[in-house]
Amino acid sequence: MAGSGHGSSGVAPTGWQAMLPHFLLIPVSVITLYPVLYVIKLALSGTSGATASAWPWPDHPSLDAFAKVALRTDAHGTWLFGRQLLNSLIVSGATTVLGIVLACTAAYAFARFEFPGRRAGLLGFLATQMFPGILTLIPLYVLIQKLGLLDSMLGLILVYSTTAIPFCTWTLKGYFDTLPKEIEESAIIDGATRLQIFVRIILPLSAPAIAVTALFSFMAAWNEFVLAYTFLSQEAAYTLPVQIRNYVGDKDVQWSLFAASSLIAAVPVMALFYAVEKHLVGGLTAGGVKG
Amino acid sequence: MPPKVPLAPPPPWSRMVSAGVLCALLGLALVFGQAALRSQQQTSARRVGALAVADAAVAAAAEVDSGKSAKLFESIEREHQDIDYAFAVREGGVDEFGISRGSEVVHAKPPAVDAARLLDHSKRVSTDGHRALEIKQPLAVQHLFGEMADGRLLVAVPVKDSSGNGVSAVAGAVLRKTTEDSPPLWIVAVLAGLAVLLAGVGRKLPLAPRVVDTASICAVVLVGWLLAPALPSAGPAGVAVLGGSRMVAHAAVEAGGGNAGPWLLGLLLLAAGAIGWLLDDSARVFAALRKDPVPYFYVGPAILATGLLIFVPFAVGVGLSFVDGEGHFVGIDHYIEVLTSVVDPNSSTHFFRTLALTTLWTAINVGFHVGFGLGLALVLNRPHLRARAFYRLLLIVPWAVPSYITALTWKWLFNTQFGPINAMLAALGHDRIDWLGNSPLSNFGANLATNVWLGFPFMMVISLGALQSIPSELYEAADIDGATTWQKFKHVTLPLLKPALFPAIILGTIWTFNAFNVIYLVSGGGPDHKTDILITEAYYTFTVLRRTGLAAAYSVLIFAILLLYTLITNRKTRATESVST
Repeated sequence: MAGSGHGSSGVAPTGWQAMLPHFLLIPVSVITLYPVLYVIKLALSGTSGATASAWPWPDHPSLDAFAKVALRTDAHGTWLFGRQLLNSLIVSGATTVLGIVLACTAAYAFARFEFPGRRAGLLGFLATQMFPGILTLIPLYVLIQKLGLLDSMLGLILVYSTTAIPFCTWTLKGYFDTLPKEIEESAIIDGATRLQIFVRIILPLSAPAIAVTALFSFMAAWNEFVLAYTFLSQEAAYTLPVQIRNYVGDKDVQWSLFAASSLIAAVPVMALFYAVEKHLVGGLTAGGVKG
Repeated sequence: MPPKVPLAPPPPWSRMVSAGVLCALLGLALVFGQAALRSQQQTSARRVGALAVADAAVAAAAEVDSGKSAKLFESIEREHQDIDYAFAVREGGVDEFGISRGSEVVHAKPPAVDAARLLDHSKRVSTDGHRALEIKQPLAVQHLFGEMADGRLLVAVPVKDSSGNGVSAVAGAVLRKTTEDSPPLWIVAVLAGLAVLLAGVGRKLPLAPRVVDTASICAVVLVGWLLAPALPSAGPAGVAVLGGSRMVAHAAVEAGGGNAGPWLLGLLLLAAGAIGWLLDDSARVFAALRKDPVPYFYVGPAILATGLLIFVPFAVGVGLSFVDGEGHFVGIDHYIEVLTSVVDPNSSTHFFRTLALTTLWTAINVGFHVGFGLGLALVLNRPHLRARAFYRLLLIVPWAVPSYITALTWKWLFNTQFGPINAMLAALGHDRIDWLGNSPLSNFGANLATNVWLGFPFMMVISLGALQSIPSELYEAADIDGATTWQKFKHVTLPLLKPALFPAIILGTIWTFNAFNVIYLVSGGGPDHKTDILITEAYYTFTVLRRTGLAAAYSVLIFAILLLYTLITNRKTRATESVST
């Protein structure tokens, strides 16, 4: 069933042969979408809970769960949901910006300069991907505590953005490697400085890869809950994942609230994902495909 | 690209000398670190003791109306050699005519001291203590500590009134200054000498100079670490702990929890390892830095950030694995315990069973990810496929959904009573299955289904990208040679997929090996840890068993396994060869 690349010539198959892939793709797509549809059903089932049926549409659609999730306030009247959404947005946004700035410059140096320590740096970044999170959790907690950054967004931003740097650096370096060096060489002849080349030539050319790595940084920060759960103790300081996890905690399980808040939390990040989606292949694999 | 900086390798004796000098520096750091550590431990011990005294003072102050309090205070001062005096300041309260009587000193030595002067010893204690007395509210903290200018330690505890909501008095004690001492400085010379010796002897061994340097410098640090506490010292002037009260127990936990020992050891070992490894390179880096610092401006910020927030915590974590809950160095005891005994005393799962399960889990998952991903990519890549873009968008949905939401959703899908999977089974006339119940197999299956759903789109997108970059001329040439579909797949598609697929598989393996979210949120490792993978077991050790050192040892082993795997596969597949280009 291995086919040639879809740019190749050939006669279009007709009849059942053209239908064959769809017999496979339609069921697979349905299985893929089913859990998502089921979350929507749960969220729309109101706060009383869904009935046990496999059909992914609620019997009595209601927006009660959304209202309950979105209008939550604490004892002081603080609009918790708004605060938590804002926390998540600020933390993820700042993480992305900080992480990408540091990763871009590092990746550029790794891709374009030969300097002692380059290999050690690259391998060190690779090794961080193998560090089990639990090993660094305890020292990080103490460090953040000593800095007085528990229950603050700054603490999460610092930790998230540094955790994102190694993966982003590797991905971006792979992409920078594929850009022809001749462009830079002619720019140097024209009298451009390294910084000018980096900012005016390399960065614009790498927009797809930067978009993809930015997406991953954003997703990682938006979805993280173990560190957030450890660092944050006040409800008003929570990010959305901590709140969502708490809806289905050990004592109190509220699946409809979980589903409603999950949908609200998933929509922005899925929108971003699909906005960047067409660059996924090029941005991620450019370095690897080059071989 | 600028040419490599040509530098002659340094002569062997220079390395020995550098090792000696650097070890002397490390030794200094060790001595001062140990001194700081000891003083911190002494302070902690003093504070725990001081609280016990303050507790007794609170009890004594409570007896003021029965007239026994003076005797009680005297006995406190007699029992504890190292306290200067105990005191209690009582809020006079409002009498029946509504007239405030002001603060009243119940007991203090010398007796003439007034309440304001007494509490003025320490600014923070005085401010907070007075406020507590004024507004009659319990403090935000249960106890107040203040270092006095002359080195004495003041502790004060608000005494709750009979209703339990307000404050009726502040009681406490002033402790005498204790002498602190540090390991003697001659240890620095000993360590430096040892380093020169080891580096010199190591030169004769058939090992790479880097390995010798790293090992010898690390060994010197460890020797220094083990030696330093055994050196003669006056030792802390111990305060007898009365114990019994919850507050004292709480403070004791705090004192133990804030132990800096692991930090110090971790930092020193990291520094030692780095120095040993970079003895040659550091010379080169410095030379290059002087010649052309530009590359270092670009990587500097990222290296600094990851160094501070990833590598230092990692090294500290490694240090923690050698230290028990009370801060004592236990060597490799934790590693032995992880490898030889069951972690959870109530369970029968041991390390190697969990390791086998983790390996199985990873292999099955990555197999399915690559199988489904590549299969779907091949179908999607067929020429003339209708609605290709539409399918692609649908099939990458799982990648876009946050993984914790996925995991919790699947937990619901597998719910015994209300879950749709059981509803489907019921519709087919099958009995309901208690998926997340007592069967390890069904729990494992639930985890697996979740993670396969979660992970195949990544492999699909990678495969699709790689397939699209294969020039169609190759297939046309194969067609001319009369190759079958299978031959084309085997000899054209697969070899050209490898460069993109291997790094993705290595990355996918590492991610799946540590797929914490899925296991933790779907099966929770149950039943009886039988579906736990290594990372969730380590988390359990940390959060439920509260055995930090053991959890750290567990994590170090996980890291070692992954590192070994990556090194082996990397050697075979050269997946990261772009490092050296």
